[in-house]
Amino acid sequence: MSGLLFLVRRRLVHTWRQNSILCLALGIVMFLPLASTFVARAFEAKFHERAGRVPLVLGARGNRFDLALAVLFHRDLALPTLTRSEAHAVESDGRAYVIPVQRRFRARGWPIVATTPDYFEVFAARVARGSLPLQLGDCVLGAKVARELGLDVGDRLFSDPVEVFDLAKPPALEMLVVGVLEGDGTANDRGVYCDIKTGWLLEGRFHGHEDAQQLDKQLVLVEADQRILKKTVVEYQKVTDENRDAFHLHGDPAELPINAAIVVPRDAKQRTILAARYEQSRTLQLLEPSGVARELTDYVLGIKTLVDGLAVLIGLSTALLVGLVLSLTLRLRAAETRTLARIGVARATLVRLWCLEFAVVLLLALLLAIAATLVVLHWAPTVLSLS
Amino acid sequence: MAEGASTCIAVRGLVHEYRPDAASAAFRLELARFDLERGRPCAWIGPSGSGKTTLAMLLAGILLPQAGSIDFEGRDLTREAEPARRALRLRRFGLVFQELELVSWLDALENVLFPFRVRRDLGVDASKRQRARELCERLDLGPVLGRKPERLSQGERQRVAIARALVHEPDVLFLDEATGNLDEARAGLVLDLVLEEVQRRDAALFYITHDRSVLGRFAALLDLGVVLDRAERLP
Repeated sequence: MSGLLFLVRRRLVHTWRQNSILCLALGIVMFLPLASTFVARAFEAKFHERAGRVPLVLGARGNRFDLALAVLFHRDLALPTLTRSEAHAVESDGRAYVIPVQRRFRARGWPIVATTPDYFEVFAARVARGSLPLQLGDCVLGAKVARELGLDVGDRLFSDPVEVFDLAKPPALEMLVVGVLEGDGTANDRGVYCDIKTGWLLEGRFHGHEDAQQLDKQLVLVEADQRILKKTVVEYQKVTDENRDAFHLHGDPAELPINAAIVVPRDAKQRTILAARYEQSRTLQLLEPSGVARELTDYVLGIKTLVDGLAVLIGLSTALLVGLVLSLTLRLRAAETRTLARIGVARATLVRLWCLEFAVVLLLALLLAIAATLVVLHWAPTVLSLS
Repeated sequence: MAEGASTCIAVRGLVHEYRPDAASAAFRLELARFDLERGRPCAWIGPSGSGKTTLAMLLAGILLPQAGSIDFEGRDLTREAEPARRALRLRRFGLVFQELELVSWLDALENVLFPFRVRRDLGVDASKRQRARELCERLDLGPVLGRKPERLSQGERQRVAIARALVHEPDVLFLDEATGNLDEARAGLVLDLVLEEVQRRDAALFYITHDRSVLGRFAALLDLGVVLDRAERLP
């Protein structure tokens, strides 16, 4: 056998260009079903694992997939808002408690999730260094965000301005990094987390500026019972110990907007009651993320079945082409084969030689397909925004 | 039979008929009796198309005759199955045909060593490699050992094929116009080596040639046309 292996190696090296093309073609054919199977499984597992942590999600009426994906995986999907009072109405009769979530802004490209400390408990996000963001202007970084931005506790991070040229929009906020989460390979690693009030600060609902009574008159637009300041008054761009108390809200706190609320019912019965209550609501929806996950994975599996069907067709056509290539190769080698037969090489030896050659090509193609699948599996969660 | 020589291949009542193509008349080869002896190099001459190559193929067990027997050391090749005949050729015979083909993806030295690579019971060790190198040196192939056939001249290919036929020290050598593409000096070199190997191994040699100048070096000389004329016609 070692003699045959030697010959196979020599033959494969001699025709490496043709073999590389054959390997690539076969590898792609094997890669398609392999990758679709494993990516679909990874997607399903990740989605169900995360969705299983969240009992219910309350949001404004709209696309339920968008709502679930935004809450579970920080996806940027322009969600309609609901008010703080609408969210807190859920817990008014003690059936559940709610965790507000605002998911609208970004900091150096990473999604900012404004919420409350309970959020971290729901998603089992533990602080590796520092503490949770308890004060206005504080933030905690997911492990991947900290690693990629090279930031740690004590560093500062600017939010991305929503509109650079519109002075009416709130400016970028300089946040203080007070903690870094443990890496767990989930969406937790990819977020910048701050207190919900910081979220409202980003939105411009909260703001801070110099004491209006102390300001130069040139900055005053109207002076009556109250001083109304001109827009040229520069708002604070960072929260410090000195100015923290100066931040304030104009308007009704109950009307502050959020994008969603994670609802944690007291028990299964309360869960059922709550689900029934919001079923008929025209403005709000209460959804069960696990159910949405099932729907989405069914959809993905449907696509996978389609991909598998196409892969079978591609595989079939490739097999025919490979058969043609092999038969032409054998024809090209006919003279050589005839001579080998004349000097006495057994037919079985010749067949073994050809089969071994093809087996090595197939094996290399399989290894190529597995390697490509592993690469895809490594990047797929990021591409699909699942981690 | 010459004194002291032993019969290696004995042919009796051989009849072989075939039609080269549909338009041609059938070619019929008949040979009533022929003994190929060890240690008595046998040169075969004869006009083109007289059936020299066909006879060599019959004696080597590549073709099967319609009638008669070809006996090699007590084994009738005409009754042996194809795999057994192939195994016999690989182990005991050395062959060079006019349409020589080398393995295109092996260099000259590996082509010479090829019979060892495809035999399950043998591998390539230092001694076999040494023998292959020595044969190649004798055949003036030293500088081209690392070249693939596509980079060899026709004469070099022919000498590689001869080295391949000799490397495993066969008991019977079939050389069909093996020096046809060589100049006189190199053809002499090849013949020297072949005859030396035959004498050393007490092997049998079936040497087909058109070159009458070398016939004096053979112990037996047969003209296939004459043999066929003189052969007893079979019923």
